[in-house]
Amino acid sequence: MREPPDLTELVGTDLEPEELEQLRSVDAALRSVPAPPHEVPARLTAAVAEVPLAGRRGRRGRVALALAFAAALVAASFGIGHWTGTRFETDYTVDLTPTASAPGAQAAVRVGERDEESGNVELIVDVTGLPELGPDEFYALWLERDGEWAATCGYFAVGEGDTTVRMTVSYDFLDFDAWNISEGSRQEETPTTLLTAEIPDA
Amino acid sequence: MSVAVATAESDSRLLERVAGGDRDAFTELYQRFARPVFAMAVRQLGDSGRAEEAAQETFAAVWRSARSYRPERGSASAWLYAVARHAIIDRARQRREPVVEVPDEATAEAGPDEQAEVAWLAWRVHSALEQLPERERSVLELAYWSGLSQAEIASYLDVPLGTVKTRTRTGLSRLAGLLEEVRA
Repeated sequence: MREPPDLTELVGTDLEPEELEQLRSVDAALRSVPAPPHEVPARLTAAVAEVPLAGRRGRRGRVALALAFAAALVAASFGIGHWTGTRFETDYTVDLTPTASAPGAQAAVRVGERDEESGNVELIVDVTGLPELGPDEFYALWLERDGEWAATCGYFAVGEGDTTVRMTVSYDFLDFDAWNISEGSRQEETPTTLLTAEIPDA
Repeated sequence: MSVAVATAESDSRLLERVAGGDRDAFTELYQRFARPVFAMAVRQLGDSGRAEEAAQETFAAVWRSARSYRPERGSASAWLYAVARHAIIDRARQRREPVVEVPDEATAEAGPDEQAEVAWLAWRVHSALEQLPERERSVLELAYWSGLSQAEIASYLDVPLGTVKTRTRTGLSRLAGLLEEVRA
């Protein structure tokens, strides 16, 4: 890497001594630290955008969660209750229809039964016919409301052939108007929907 | 020449808003600190994938713990630095690997104290850069980390040479003020 130009080339020589001293100190700082990354990965920005949607769990919430988890463990060890840690039970399946932007694609979302303790719902997404993307690119399964990207279920990449992705969300799907799959994140101003399915009113 | 420090909302005020559950403030804070956090994570973990994970955990921790920030104990930038350090160390421990500074020319011979000093300086410089207007940040980055001359920058950005000189000088002056602010 080339050395940066001298400070005098950068700022000229017509500075007051006090200002030159101040800039000399900044110049030294800039020369002594490594370059910042050119940009932040889009995947990181997309993931951090979801952080506030997860909400905050206070101490009481954490205790309740710990108790619920302990109760589930006890139930599992005595063979009672319904242990769904490794088993997926489909409640219903949503078939998404390809748009003109992805005519050869197919996708189905298997919606699991809602876990009564946590309120979470597991989703298994089966996708085929979407092209592989670059290393910093990804697809998203998201929920639409009033024509807007309202909630993200998860991000995924695809390989050759069929791809199956597992996600966990806590949304009430009846609050939304449609399931969509598009490339990129909600930061895109106008994400191109590749596959979609309307959510009928209850 | 005196340049006013950016009038944008202070980091401290943004953290207070984040503590109150303000998502817009969280987005603003992310935009200011994403590159410094990611830069530190990449340097210390040595790979981009794990750095992304550490950076994600940093911002999740900021969202969860903003209420624990006490302005009287230090600057918001220093608090964020500590949160990021912890997230990076946690990520490194998951692999049972020590946190290391990836050597660069400035730190090749440095001991742990000096490395920490450089890490903190890099954090302050990178954070301050994020608060510069894009037009000033880009000329400084091209000069200091691509080694371009003022004439080359002018050609690269397709702006007059005088504009590059003005932006460089203004950017450096503004940076001086910002670095003073986050010295705590």
